[in-house]
Amino acid sequence: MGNECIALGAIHAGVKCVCGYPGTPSTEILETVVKENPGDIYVEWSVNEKAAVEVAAGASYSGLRTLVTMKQVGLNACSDPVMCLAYIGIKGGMVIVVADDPGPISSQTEQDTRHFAGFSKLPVFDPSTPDEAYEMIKDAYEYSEKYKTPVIFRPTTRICHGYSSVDLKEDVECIKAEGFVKDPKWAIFPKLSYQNHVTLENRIPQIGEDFSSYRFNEVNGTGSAGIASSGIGYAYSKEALESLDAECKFLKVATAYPFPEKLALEFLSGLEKVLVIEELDPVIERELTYICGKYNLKTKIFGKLTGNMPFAGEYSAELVKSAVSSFLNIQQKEETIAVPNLPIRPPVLCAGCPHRASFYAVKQAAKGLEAIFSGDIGCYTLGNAKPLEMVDTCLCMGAGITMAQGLQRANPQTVNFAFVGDSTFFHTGIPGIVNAVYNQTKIVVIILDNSTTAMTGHQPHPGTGVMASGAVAEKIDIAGVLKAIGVKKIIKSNPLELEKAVSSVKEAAEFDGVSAVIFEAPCIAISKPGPHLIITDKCTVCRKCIKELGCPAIVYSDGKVYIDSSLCVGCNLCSQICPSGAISQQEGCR
Amino acid sequence: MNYIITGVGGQGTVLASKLIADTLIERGEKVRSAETIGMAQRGGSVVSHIRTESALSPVVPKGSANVLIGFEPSEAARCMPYLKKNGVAIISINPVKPVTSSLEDNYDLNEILTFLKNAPQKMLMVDGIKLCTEAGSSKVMNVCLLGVAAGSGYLGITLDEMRATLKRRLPPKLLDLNCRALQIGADAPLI
Repeated sequence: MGNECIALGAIHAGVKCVCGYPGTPSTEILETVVKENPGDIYVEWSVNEKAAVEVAAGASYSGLRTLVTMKQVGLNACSDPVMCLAYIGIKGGMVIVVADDPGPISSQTEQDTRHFAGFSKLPVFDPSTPDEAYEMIKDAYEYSEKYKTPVIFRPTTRICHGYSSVDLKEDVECIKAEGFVKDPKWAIFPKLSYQNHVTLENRIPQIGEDFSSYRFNEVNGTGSAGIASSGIGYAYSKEALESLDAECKFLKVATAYPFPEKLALEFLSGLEKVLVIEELDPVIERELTYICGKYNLKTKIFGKLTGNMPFAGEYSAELVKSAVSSFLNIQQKEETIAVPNLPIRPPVLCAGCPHRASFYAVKQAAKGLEAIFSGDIGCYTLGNAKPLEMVDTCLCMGAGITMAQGLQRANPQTVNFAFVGDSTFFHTGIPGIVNAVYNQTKIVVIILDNSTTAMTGHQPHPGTGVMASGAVAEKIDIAGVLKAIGVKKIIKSNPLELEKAVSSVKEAAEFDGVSAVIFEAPCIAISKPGPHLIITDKCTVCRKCIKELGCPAIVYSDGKVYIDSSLCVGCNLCSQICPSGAISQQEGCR
Repeated sequence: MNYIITGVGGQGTVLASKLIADTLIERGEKVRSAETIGMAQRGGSVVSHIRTESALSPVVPKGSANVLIGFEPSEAARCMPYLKKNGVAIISINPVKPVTSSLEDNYDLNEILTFLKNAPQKMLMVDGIKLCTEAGSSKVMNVCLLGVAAGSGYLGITLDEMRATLKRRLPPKLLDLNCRALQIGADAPLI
């Protein structure tokens, strides 16, 4: 897997400190470091991306090679230290892996980290295959140390989650760390920032020049037409040319910033037109257009800005092939198969997921109230789906709690519920609750504590009592944190005991001030299933269970309701809402 | 060779694709592969791509899969555009209905099966649930289908090679069951 390649590449490059926060498609990088740790690497799941970058920066100041991992939106959460580090620099090589998600397949935005690299003035590496990523990580450390700057490593989903055969080097580079040496250069001040800004700007064209001879940037092929590409777009374009039996000049850009201008000039020389194939933002396209203007070249640059390629969404082999064929004026036979109507399979909460019970309890308790439900990022975002429909807003990590406060200010007649998961609570939820208490808002915070970071594949967090390495940690108690902040009404409840859960929510909603209900029930993927339930002959086929809960284990077929025993984990939520008492454990009759 | 393995999350498609890739790598081939999985942990559409030879991208382009293994008829139908004109599909005919079809019936099995049966490519259809029952576990549909594919001669991997991979990759206590499932697949009657 590409993420394993990145992790192994870093391990073989002698990385000694690895920090990150889980986020698709980046999560498996840090998990692989934990698995393959030769024993001398410090590795942690940090509480959020900002903490991860700062912990790594401290280690980098001391001369260790460090790795930070996150998804693209995680970079927003840590842009403060990243922007400042560009000015201060580092000693031990520091690679910040930021996985972009064209599509987006599981993210809030389609932001392009190559742009962020230009904005923060940090060099960026963009691998086009998993095997290339393995090799490139080592280069990233070398450039980082050569120019004393953190570098960004930006794979996309297809690289992170693609697999390929890779030849691994067995030996690990041994980097001797000097330790932290006190020096005024480590403390940022306006005067120092000015001086470093001058150095920084001088360095950018220098690195661009250096990148023109970088081994993974290349120009090949011949012709008066050219294709410029990067990342997975490179693989798609090369394969498109092959299947169209066509040839043209080709520029592969593995480092979009600082742009390898000299190499680009070599590519543009003699070309009439260029098609740029890159997912997300038109970064290479703008650079080539700029170079054409700067050197007064007549080459026409086509891409997103000219309407030839789409801005949004993930590229596919087919999309690239059709763009290449029309760019090169090659007729292509279009053959489409008429596939019949197929069922859609929208993402839903798992059968027995305790979040379903929590949402249902809040929905019952809020009946008759004018309520607004602010959601957050995690599995529980799926609470927006029918039939629960309990997510009115969702923006970014930790935003539910704070947005609920603004909604409350603007709509004082409403009751504002904010849902937050346990990992998100620690990530960026806590300051929002401090804000609510300090500014005397009235909101009800519903904490969905399932004892794990579920959506990204069950990573531990500060509330779980386990560290990334698997070692035991001090459990940080959510109720204790809330109490310390000054939340005056805190109720712990088991969401799977419906009646009590509903009355807990009612009590919290009646409280004048900030209140919290902590729904504690482990994720079904990390707990043992109970005996599955069955539908007895008392069932009147009213289908209330299906219409109100939407549990994938309850199926309606041929005029009957039944429970899929392979999916049911025996959570008992449905048996508590069945008006005819027809759902029970196995001792009943079928 | 280009392979597409598709089904519903939880059916074991990912393991099946890993077993194929592992066999090819063991033989000394360069392999690239990828999975497309949505946000759903379970119950979503899953497609695995496996490619050998000089493939650069891990994703199989439409119209170029030599073999398609479908664990579920609607997911197989969804992936039919990947299959080459002279490709072969191995499909289990048992549907897995999404939760949305309990709220509103949107799954027309007959229409989907008719579409698959009328496809111009070679279609090898089996009753996956029946094969699992015969093997004695509902969790071995993946290996049963690998058995159908390997036994048919179209997979480009022999039953012996696949057995060797099972030995290498599976815990010993699951080996007997899976070897049985593989053979049951190889001997399975086509529908």
